Amino acid sequence: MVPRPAYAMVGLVLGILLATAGCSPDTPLPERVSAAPAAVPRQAPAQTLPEDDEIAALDETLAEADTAIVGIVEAITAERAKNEFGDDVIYSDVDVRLDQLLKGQAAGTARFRMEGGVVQEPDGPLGLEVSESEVPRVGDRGAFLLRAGRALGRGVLLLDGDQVRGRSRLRLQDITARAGRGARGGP
Amino acid sequence: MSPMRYLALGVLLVLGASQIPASAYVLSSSYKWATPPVWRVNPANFSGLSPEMVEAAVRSGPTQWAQAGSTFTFTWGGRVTDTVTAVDGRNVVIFRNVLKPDNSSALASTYSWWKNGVRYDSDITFWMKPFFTGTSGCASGWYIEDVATHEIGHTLGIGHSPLAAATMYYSASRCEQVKRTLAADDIAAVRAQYP
Repeated sequence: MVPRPAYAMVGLVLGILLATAGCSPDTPLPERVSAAPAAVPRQAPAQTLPEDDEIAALDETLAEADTAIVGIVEAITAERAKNEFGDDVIYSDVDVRLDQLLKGQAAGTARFRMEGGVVQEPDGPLGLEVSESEVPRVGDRGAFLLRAGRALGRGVLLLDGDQVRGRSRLRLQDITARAGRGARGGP
Repeated sequence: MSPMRYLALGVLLVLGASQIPASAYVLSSSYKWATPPVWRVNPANFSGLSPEMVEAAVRSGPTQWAQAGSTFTFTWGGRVTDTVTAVDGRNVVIFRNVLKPDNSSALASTYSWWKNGVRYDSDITFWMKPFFTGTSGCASGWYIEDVATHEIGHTLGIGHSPLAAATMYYSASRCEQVKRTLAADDIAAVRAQYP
């Protein structure tokens, strides 16, 4: 027996009416106003769910990492420097109290370096934001995927509870499971 | 399946879809440009693209954002020969013939500096990937127009969107041409950041 789309269509219409009625005034819908032609929002392609992309990126980063840990940031020190190409950068050295070891070797407090951060200059603070990575703050808890003592791009996954911060749909359980070994107790 | 079940299925589908946020942008930084930034490009590249093509492709990035109905504007500064980036108040786009050391999958990276509470300098580095320009000819690579538009979004303080349809979604499919024009989510983001 094949589906009966006519009945489903009635349901869709009914659902639209119900969903519209349920919208609250603070629903963050984008403003629809006329704009210059180039700024007219393009038609969104069929919505794909990002979970698979996030998992694929996580797997890729885990594969590149020699160490993966979960822990709480205890201290951060930052300095202005030149990177291997001669670019101006700020490096932050992040000390993490280890809660869980997911991959590699680490114990006690782990230190890693990452691009970005804030330094104090004579005329005030100077900050660097790097597109793929967010420098944590002291007290933040996160999963940190490292290679050779440096955080990998996309390798800083800050946590609110067990949920990866921001709009991510990843949870800590996803990270521990994908690490292949499951969570292991820290020291 | 009975008609009532089809009816219920339709209702559930729509109600479920209505839970997907229509606007989900992330503002990653409160630091904004105090004056319109001047963008420059060193078009020397490793994909065999002409300087004219590269300049036009890169320039399309800030142009898109400046036409989104916000107060953001920019000035085009033309071509330069910079090969390194510096915190010097010059916003440059360069191409480098290596992969990003800590993220080999990165197509490009944006380095944005702030000082005294305002965005002060942004630079964009394209890493060694197969890049193309225009609307045809892409062979398992990426169009500069799409990558540049995404990276310029970062220089406005816009982070990665969870919506796969948005320019600010964090990953890009090979040869895609969707990110070069802004989705509703991106437009909402820049209007929120530069009202």
